[in-house]
Amino acid sequence: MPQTFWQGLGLGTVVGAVLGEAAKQIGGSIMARRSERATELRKLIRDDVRALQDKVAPMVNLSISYYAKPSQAAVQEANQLRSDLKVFASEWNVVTQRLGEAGERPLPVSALVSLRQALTNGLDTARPGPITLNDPLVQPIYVASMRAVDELSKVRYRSI
Amino acid sequence: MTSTQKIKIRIATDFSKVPAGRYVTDGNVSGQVFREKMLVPALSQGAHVVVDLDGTEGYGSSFLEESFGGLIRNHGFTLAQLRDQLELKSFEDPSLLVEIEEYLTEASASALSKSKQQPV
Repeated sequence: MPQTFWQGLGLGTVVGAVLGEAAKQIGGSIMARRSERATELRKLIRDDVRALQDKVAPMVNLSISYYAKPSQAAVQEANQLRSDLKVFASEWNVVTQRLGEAGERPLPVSALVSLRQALTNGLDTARPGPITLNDPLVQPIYVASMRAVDELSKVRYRSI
Repeated sequence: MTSTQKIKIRIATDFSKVPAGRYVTDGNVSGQVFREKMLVPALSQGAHVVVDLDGTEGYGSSFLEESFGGLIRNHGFTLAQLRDQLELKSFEDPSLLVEIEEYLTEASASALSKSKQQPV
């Protein structure tokens, strides 16, 4: 027996209501999972950023102790600094990727580049003796390290 | 005629795992030595040169600046030529590519400004 328009509409309403409820539940579950993932990501970002911030001061100290010696006597500091910077940059990139995943602005690459430039400008370059804290090589280290820490702080506060 | 030859340079294995220093006076793994021994010969052949920066113990800015900025400053390569011939790779730290690009741009601007100052 052919279905009338009204009968079809009634059936459609029931099916529509059931499907609508299922869709709501699936949608809710996806939203909940997204929200959990976002919270998890924010925590990861905060932890990573804190770890990065903790690494800036030791690198600055290492750099200062490098410049406080004649270059020939500071080979160990120079090697350590290059290696620490490499690890730092790699972790910086991980945070940037996570920020992208969370739909946030990335860490500015210019802050990382400036930090590396300031910390290593003049590294391994022959000089006869130690330089003072007022040397033009030393001042940019403070500026660049503070900028890097500031940029990291911004991300940390945004991700609370 | 453009060359299709491709030369790959992996700094960690073809030059040094610990590249350091600016000038040859700073040591035999300095930026100047890397530029003169590896980059210039490859680029002068007109080849497409791929430089892989991964695998080293890290880089100081002086090594990077002297290696790449020095191509324009000391060997007369142009920025356009280098953008065409030189390909830089770093999976470990892509910020190195940004830094090197900065050195190339600065060296090019400096070379242009010097050429304008020279009397005709």
